[in-house]
Amino acid sequence: MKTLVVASGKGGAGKTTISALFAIFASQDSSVVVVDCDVEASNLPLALGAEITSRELFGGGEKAEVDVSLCAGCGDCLANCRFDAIAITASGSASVDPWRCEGCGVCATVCPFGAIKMEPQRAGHLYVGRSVTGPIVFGRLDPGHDLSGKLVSTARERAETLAKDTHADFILVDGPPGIGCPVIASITGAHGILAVTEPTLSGEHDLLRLIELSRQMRIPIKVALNKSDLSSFGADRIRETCQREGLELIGEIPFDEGLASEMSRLAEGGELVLDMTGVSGLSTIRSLWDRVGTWISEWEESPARTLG
Amino acid sequence: MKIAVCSEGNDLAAKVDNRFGRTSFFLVIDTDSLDFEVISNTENQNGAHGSGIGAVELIAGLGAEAVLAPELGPAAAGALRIASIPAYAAGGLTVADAVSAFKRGELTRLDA
Amino acid sequence: MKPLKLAVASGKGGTGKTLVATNLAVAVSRLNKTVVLVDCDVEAPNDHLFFDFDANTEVVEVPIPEGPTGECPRGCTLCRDACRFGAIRILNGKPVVFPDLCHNCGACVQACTSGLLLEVPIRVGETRSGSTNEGFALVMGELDVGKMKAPTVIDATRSRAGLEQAEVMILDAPPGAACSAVATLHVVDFLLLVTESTVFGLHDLELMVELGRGLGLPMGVIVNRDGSGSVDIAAYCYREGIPIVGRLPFDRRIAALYAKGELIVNSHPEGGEWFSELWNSLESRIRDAMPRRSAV
Repeated sequence: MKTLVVASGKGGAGKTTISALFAIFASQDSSVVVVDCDVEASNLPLALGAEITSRELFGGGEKAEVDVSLCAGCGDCLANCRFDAIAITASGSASVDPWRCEGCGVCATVCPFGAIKMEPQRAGHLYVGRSVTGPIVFGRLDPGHDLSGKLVSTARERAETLAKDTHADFILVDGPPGIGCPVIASITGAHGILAVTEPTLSGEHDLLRLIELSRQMRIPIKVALNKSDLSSFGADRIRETCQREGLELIGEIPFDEGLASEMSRLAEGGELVLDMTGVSGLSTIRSLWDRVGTWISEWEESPARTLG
Repeated sequence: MKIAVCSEGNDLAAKVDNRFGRTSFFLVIDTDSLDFEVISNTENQNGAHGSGIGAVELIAGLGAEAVLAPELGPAAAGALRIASIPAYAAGGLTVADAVSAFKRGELTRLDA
Repeated sequence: MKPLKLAVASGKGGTGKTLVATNLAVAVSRLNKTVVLVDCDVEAPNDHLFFDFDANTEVVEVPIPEGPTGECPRGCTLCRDACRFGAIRILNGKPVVFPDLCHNCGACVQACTSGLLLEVPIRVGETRSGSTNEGFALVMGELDVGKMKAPTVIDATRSRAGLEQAEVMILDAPPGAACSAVATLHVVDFLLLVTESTVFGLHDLELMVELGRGLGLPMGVIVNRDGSGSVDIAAYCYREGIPIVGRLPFDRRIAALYAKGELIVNSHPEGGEWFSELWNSLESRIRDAMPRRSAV
């Protein structure tokens, strides 16, 4: 299923705003499944006023737990733990810090008394819902847990299934910030990435890292410059970067306060009114969407390009 | 030869499943006699990371010399290469039709 | 003496963590305290862009199993069975490692009774440490593109920062509330949460408060771009018993300066005052919240 990912090395550049509006515009004449892969701080369902239709528990990994009645305080576990997750407490028993425990099980294996067990953890939830744009899938990781990459993969797999079942035209992924495992999981097998950046030194720096990641994973990437009038110095640098890297700068969106408050209003349950003449950002993003839509229509469905 | 086919069900009339790593079953089929074994894939369906790799390990351990699959993610494709098991595109067919098409050389390679 | 550790974090990206962390570090340094600024956003580090920084680089490595160094016993799956992450599998009778899934724990090597597996270091990123032109130390980490071991690089960055003899350590956290955030916030003395008065800012603040409580951290909130949204952050903070320790106004000058890599404390007329006031507001709260400790 054709998949577009809206991503950004830097947080706060405007991925979710742009994803939300793309989804709204796309849903007017095609069928789109939306996935919010920013599972650590999922905002797209909020922006689109999604109603949840199903919620599933998402299992995390395992953590070591000590049975103090069996523990002799010998310290073998502590000596073998590579993650500084074990201490011997004042009472003489071993204690595992769940925030540091990696779930590798080495301590449980080396304990001569069988005092350590690996316990499965709940790490979050996978949600499916409906919004004004159609089906939406998102994950919410319980704060402090890892395996955000796995939750992202799970969300994407669910979206693929939904998209096939509903004969959708494409999947729109709102990616997480950064370039780590949740980002990698959100772009794996995608047909194209729209990198959203801003005219700041940080935005440029983080864009370059995202570009490098896209090259490593061999996924075509185009760039959109958001809040373009914030700094003409910064904007020039982004334009130069795109030229140097041989990438298309497919759109520039000036900063629009009206747009930001529209997004907040939408998120607070307001009605969507699309032909607001006062909000210039909307028509700019609409034009950007038209160009991105054309790009999507040029993609071919290829068998090896999806999740396995 | 012995091949593995991703399957939604436990016989040759079933459709090829639309996933590889999390397919419901693998049917391991002798292409000459059409004798087959049904292998449940629940461990990879429910498992953590690496379902594609786990599926490759499963069929490699069963001695499959080729696999018929709907599509492949990059991790599964890499693991198949390591295991020297070629994969062929069979999405949308029944298992029986997929095997016939494979024998006639009509299926395209998935991992080339 | 152990430093006072203040972490600056936010669920949502782009709320102003780096703005606050960098400018606060300068302001505190100008109050004649020794400061180390620690950039833990190893996927997209930005603090160094605001300073001239002469850095000393060290590579961060993790051990990955390699082998077998001989013939495996037929049908043996000890290494594969010991791995809880599915990172080592038996294909064609030999163990094959999948480095992206590997958690570098050594369980497989320990489990191999034939002694055929060994561990080799592979590079996942680097740390850089040095003095800034503002006269304090900056320590940063950077994850190699395509690698997934952000928490490992964060741990290395924090260790390196710990070597500085500083009175105050300011940690700039990555966005989010998962393993990277935990690695940054674990065992700090105070968590300063940056938010904005929008629905999204509040939503992500709630996640961070949940994390902060889980980690047992005293917390305070700074509202950035104050005046730009309609959500009442103060009401939420009051209900939750979390102090608002500062507000930065919604001011295009701030955004423009930040865009060019300039420090607000240097280039905005009110910048110095904002951040020294923020420190005053924070310092007594942090000391009150810290348990007694012995001087070294």
